Amino acid sequence: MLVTFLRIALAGIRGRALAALLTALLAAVTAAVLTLALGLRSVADEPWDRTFRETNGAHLIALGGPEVARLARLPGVVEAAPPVPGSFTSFALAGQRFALNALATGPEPPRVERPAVTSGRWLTAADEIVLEQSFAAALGIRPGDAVDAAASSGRIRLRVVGVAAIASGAPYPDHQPGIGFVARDALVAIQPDSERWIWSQAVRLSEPARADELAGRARQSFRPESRVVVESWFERRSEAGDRSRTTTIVLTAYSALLLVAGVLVLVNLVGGRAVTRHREIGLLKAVGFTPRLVALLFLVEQLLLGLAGAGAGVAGGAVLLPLVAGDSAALLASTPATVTGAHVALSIAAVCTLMAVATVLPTIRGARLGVVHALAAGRSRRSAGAASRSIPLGRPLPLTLGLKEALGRSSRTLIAALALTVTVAALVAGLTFETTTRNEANIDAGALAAISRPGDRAAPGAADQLAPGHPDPIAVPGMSARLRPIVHSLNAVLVLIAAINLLAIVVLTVRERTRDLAVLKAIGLTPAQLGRSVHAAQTVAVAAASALGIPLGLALFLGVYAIVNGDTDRTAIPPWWALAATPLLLAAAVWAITLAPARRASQLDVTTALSRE
Amino acid sequence: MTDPILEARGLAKTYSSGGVDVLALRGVDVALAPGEFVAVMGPSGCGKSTLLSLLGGMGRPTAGEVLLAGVRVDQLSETRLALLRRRSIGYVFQFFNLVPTLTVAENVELPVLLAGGSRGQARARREELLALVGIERRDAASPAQLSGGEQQRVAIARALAHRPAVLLADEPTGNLDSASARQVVDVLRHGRGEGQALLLVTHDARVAAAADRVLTMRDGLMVDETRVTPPREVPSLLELEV
Amino acid sequence: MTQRLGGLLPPLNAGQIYTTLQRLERDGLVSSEAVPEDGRNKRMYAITEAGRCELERWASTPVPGTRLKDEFFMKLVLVGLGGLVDPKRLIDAQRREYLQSLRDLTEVVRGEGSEILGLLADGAAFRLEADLRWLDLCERRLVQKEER
Repeated sequence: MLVTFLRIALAGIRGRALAALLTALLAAVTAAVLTLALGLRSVADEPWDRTFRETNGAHLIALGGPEVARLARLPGVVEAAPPVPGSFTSFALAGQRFALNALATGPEPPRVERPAVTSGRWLTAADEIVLEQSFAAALGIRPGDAVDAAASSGRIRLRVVGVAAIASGAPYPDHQPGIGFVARDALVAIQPDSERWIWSQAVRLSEPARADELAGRARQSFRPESRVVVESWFERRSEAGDRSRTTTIVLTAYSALLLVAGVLVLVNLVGGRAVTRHREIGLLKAVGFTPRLVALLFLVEQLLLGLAGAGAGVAGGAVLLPLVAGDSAALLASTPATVTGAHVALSIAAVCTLMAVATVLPTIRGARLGVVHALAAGRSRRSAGAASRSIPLGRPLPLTLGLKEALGRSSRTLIAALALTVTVAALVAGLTFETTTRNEANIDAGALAAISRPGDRAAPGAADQLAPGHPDPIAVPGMSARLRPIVHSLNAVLVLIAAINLLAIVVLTVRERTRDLAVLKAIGLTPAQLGRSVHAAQTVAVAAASALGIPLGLALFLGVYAIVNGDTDRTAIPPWWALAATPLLLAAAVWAITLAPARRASQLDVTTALSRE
Repeated sequence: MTDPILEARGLAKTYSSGGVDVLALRGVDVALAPGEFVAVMGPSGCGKSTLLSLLGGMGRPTAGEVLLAGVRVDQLSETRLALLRRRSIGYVFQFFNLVPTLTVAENVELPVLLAGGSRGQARARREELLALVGIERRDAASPAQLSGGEQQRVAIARALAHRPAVLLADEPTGNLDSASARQVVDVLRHGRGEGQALLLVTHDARVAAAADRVLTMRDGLMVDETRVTPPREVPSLLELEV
Repeated sequence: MTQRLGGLLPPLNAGQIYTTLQRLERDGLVSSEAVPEDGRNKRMYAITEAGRCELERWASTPVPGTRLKDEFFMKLVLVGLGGLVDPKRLIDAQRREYLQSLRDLTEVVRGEGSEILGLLADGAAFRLEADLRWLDLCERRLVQKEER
């Protein structure tokens, strides 16, 4: 029985190969988008806390001479690693010098404040170094590269074998100098004089909430001339929070946009299937299927497609996530975004549940109809709505026919318009982002030029004397510029989603309209006119998306910018021609996407189209 | 006999479905004079619908030719064929096939507008035809709100709208009861006075009997032709045994 | 009767009616009496009890439905399949006749416009349609088999 059942379900899928493929594709896109959105959300969600947890971060850190080890004996300390010595040095890269805080953690990473390797491996030898993630990302250094660090005897070559995340105060370059983990021998080579080492002692507390109070007590226990600095995890967290706020807001905004886009794909997917299969239901009932069995059959069929699609989609999303979110993890100096089991389960469950509901409800309604009624109801009985009627039938005929068609199928047009609106809004926000970044750069360059003119003589060769914490103005791009790759790659993802969704909408519409198009052809519409009417139907969506998306995109960007910076003084609106070009580009893109379905429509064979159910 | 308005010579059509060639038509000759009413009968699958679609320029014959007003049309481009249809051919389908997103009025006006008529002309023609087929004050309704018989009458009004020289009808009474069927045939003959020719495919013998000629098809071939004349005499239907 | 069936009744002559009535009176199914009117005697007929019974019996006896008597079939089988005349020609000729009859019927119904008559004509038309279908069957079963 079960085998027969599955066989019928599979036969049903094979029987409508294109529709099934489309369903699976949309399910895959939805699942991928949901995975991506959830992944992004998790990156943006408390990145510092997550990293702190995963690295067994320290509640208190003392920096200074060897006496910092006393922190470990403070009451309330439950866990402490041996103190880590370190020294400042620098290295050259692409004609610039960068300061480096080399921490000699050794071949065994410490139990507390344990760096989490995000790529490559932990160090094993004296000529190796593991760089902190945001530092490596900002400088573009990857495992396999090498740095020549300034040492007492000139230079020491260190091979970068890995990149690791740590819950430090703020990501590089807001927090300088950059951090690198080395072996004790390497530290000795860099700074043989152990008197000049800076020790750090990390401890975990039984009552983390009292960290500030304990930090104060610890500071008092050190002599003032020892110049020991004690930092609580609260201080580090708030510093990190300030610095990563822009990134998290941008990521959160995008994960929301992605969710909206994903839901739109899902609605489209579900709507496409809700073209109820009354005729098929009638046939099944005629051979003795009960309504419940019919619903079950369709459900199995849909779930097979949904699971296959969603599985592939989640896999795709998992591949895509590091590409899109990898930079952001580095920017946040957090451990990277991963696709967790919960995300996978949630994405697949969301897709399958909605598909199941969307299958079962109309099927049960359809299955309650009598056999004869169901067979007869197979034919479309849509009526023209008021919106469609408001457009008089006139010349050019393909245009008015297309518009009436689009307004007649208002729900599908609405989905298309919304999908395009999200994309337009994201693109306009991206455009405004770009303009603003340039504007900020101009303002900064002007300010920098004013500051650095008197100091010109100090510029060359000064890098060797770089003091710790001294910012390197040329090497530090603005926050906006650092976010640029993320914004653009997320925009690309949104464009891709909208394109797939739109393609699916047009293909579904043309399939549904086959009969009408055949009738129009029989009446005497030329192939070119048929194609134009299919194109024209999309102009409604394009017009609506442009009208809504441009102001929405501007508002979105300005809103996010205002939240991040408190004001919008430094923003710049894209020039009018760039905004005007957006709908034109959109129209061109939509036209290109519609090309294949429109061609299919124009070449359709009237006789077979009309004989098909 | 006057020159035929529509003529087919040696028309053949082969479909290939699933690797098997199906001979739908195997060399059919038909000629339709202006004003003439010809019915084509035959069992389903005999090729009568294929014949109709080829005559209407909605498919290309495998062999043979189609002539409209003496001009060969079977090799024209799709675009030229479409232009031909909007000028000279009206088509009525079995399943009405009104455009669902257009109102009843717009469905009827569409061919007039396509043929180059003004909006005023289209409206006048639509009012005239909808009155003829007995569907009035339903202009703004959408096709789905009409019964099957009403939809078919609107579809016929649409086929007549641009005053085509040839009207092709595929089982126009297939889904209708006999009273509606008779009405439909009457409406289809409306344009006869203007020399409009009608070719009607049906398996309803009573509809076919109203034609001037009845052609019988079987297995893609024309097997018989019957010229039906106006009634001979009032026959005696009752034979009382006295 | 003339009112109900209209022009479809064959013309009746008075003599035939009187002969029939006299025969019925002889069998005791009707009775008659002379009624003087306008100086002449008019005979009024009335149905008797026996006559009413007989009428009821006649009306309630169903008309036999099967009809194996078919002249065309005799021609087709005896002459057509005997090889004297092409059976297809016979069938085609018969089809023309049926179609023409169908047309005649349609025109009659249209001309009369009476509902009762329409019903009768519809019945005849349905039988003609069945005859036409049966002709198709004859052609398929008998003629095409021979061609093979």
